[in-house]
Amino acid sequence: MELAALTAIHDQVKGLGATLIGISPQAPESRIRCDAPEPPFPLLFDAGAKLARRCRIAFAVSDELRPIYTAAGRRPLPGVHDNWLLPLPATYVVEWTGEVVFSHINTDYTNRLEPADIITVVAHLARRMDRERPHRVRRAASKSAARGDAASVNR
Amino acid sequence: MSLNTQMKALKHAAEAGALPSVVGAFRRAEMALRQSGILERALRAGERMPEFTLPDTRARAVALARLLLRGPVVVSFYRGDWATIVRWSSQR
Repeated sequence: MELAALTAIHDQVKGLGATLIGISPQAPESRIRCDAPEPPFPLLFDAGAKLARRCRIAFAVSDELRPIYTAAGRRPLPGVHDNWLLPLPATYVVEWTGEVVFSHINTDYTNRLEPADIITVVAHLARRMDRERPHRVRRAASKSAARGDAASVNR
Repeated sequence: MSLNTQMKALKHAAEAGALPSVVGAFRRAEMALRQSGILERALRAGERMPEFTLPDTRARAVALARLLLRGPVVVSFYRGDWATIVRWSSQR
């Protein structure tokens, strides 16, 4: 559902010059819903939740929940040690310097950053970047315009 | 309807049909996680995002540094697609 919500705002985020990415410790081969449409943004595989650990948001699924997750179809990759590490539901907005300028972290997966709030933050950054680095914005805008032209030609 | 309103509604519907032991297991796990202090330790705004290069679903390498050349990057961590059906599949 979160991916569907992100898909719904993808065009708007892209239009503001930003990129959306989803990161999960689930291997692409272990996906259950192979029939589900691929979102229009990259889904990255974080093996062993290594990046989540570096962001200090990784936690081990409790012993009590492990059989429930297994019954729901969670499968580790064959031959890979299953550390049962998962990321907290976290959303980070990173600006061009690499600094996190907005973070939303929770322990409850039904409490996520609202897509409308992502748009607000990204729109704010776009306005700021316009002021601070006008050349970069112009270049990015002309590049995406060129991509748009190419896409419409292909269609 | 907001994303969180939709997710809360799904959660309540699922809990209403699930085994009490399963509902209890989720509640206990969330409580333990909250009390572990993980939220206080987590990476937050004002810090640097660690550099990373990770494969996408077609095994192409995606580097944060490269994406940042284009503009801001919104990074959303999620568990996996099985997670959304956990509560449904454990119904009585």
